[in-house]
Amino acid sequence: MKTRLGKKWLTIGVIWGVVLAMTGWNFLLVNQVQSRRLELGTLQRDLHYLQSRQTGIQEVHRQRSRLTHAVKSFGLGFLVVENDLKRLSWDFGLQQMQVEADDNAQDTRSASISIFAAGPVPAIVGWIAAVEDAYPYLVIEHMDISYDKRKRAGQLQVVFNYRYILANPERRG
Amino acid sequence: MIRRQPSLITIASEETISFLMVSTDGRFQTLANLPLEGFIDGSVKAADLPKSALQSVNRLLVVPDYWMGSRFDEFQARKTSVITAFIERKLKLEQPTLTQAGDFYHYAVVQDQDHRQQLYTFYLQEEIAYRLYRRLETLGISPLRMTTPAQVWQAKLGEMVEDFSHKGIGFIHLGETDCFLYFFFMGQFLFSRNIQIPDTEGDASQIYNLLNYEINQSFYLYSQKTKSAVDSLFMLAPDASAVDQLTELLGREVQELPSLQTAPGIPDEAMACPSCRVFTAPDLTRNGEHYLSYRPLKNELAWRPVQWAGIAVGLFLAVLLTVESGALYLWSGSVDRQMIELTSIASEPPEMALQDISQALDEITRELERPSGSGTLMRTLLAMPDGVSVRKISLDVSGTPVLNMEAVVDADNPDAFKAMLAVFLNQLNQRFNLKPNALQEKDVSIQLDRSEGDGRKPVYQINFGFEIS
Repeated sequence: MKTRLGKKWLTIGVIWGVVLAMTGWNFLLVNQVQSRRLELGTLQRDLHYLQSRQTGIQEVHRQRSRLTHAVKSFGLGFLVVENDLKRLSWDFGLQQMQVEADDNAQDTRSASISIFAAGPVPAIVGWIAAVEDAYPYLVIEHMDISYDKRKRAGQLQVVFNYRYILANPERRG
Repeated sequence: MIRRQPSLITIASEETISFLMVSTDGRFQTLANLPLEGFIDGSVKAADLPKSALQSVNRLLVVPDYWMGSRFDEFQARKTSVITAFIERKLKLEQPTLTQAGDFYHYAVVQDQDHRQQLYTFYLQEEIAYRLYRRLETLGISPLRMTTPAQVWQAKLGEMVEDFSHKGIGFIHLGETDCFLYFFFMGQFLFSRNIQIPDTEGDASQIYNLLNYEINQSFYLYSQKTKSAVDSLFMLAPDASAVDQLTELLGREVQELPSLQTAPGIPDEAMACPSCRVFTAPDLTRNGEHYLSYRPLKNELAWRPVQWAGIAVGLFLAVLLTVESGALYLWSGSVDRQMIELTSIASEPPEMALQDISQALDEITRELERPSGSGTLMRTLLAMPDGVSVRKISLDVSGTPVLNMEAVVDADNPDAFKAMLAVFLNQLNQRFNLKPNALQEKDVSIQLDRSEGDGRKPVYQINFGFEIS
């Protein structure tokens, strides 16, 4: 009699154990589904955003790419920069343009380039504006402009941070 | 549809056991009459019992009165656990041979005439009763309840006699061949006697004299047991004159019970004990306190609704939760498929694309926040009033952007210089959006140089620096 009563209690215990386990399992499943639905919603919104803002995103990437000069090697990149800066200095009437790279730097993504030039102050200002506009990968770190009133001439000393990226990395120099 | 199991009633006498089925209209149907000893010792096989009996619920087992003992104890406590512990201890002490007596008893708490609380206990006291119970249990027809004819009469009289539970009651049941005397104290059965009626060949007076003698003997026993007298005497007899005869012989009123047979009694072929034959189906199926049950079975029966409810609710919830689990699993799968489809559409994971955009915007913003060289020069030059000429401008943006400046102010006197300097600084504050009065005269280093110019007009050299944002 006791065994029969005990067996029934055991059955009830097992059934309710299953019920509790199922409740816990379903609780986990609900959380999982809720989390997945949130992820799905986020994914849908992200995709919609990326599709609807395609033009703007491309412009952002284009602007960003302008901040770095893609070159085969630092040497080639420096030659291009030197050539561009000198050509620009001729356009603005600057004289004695000297362009030097800092060979000691170990960074493979940026290098310091020092410039020395002389000329009228308006030409110097115009040249700097033109460089900043045309070559965003050349960022001014330090700039000195002195003006000799008697000679009516200015002198420019500027150190640019030249940011570049190697298409096929090779030893700098 | 759930079919209710038929009700079985078993009546045991000293020699036979009868199996009766109760129909829905209250009639008894005799299923079998078996010799008691043969049934108990197993010589009568289960196959000798009708299948319908074995498939029924044995609702009641009626056993002879003397198979059950009873006792009154003065007892103050009302707590069930205390009472049961007391009874079980008493039974163990006084019935040491009946090891299972603690499982076969029932009790009632009553009050005597002096309002003292009494504990009335009745229990199985014959070993054969236990053997019979075990045999029925083996066959799967354990009786749910057990009683005696006297206990059934107690229930019937309790309904018919006014103030039954507070009076001493005697009851004479005169049959064709037997006469049964029942005595009740405080509404509880005290003792009974069975008197065989002799064959007097038509002389009834001999029978009444015998009954008179036996009843008076019983009165004496009653007074010994209860220290009180029988208050009322009732009689059930086939002939109304018997009541008058006994009234005259006993010298006290004997009240006749009204006719009891409102429903069919137990049929003669049932061979039930003579004391049981007037009982009807309602008598034997009535709810009340005149039964005892095997306590573990009683316990099981008490818990049965709870257990079934627990099983039913548990199974229902388990099914419900399983369905819910399945639905959630399907739902989860559907969401996963949608995610895979969307991910396959995109060339790169959207979160990486967004992160890339965010980084690009950060870089662009950082660049835009840096002061431009040409812009700084232009703002400086535009801030210079007439009479101020720059000698050197130095811009350092490697850390916090700082602009240092050396200039020459062409002023006739200190007041004019002061005015021009104020204009110059004010212009710089405005052009570079500096905080109000961020750049003041005190921040400017001033030198007076008379070597330049014509000697009479001083040249003011100024030198200062400030942070730009």
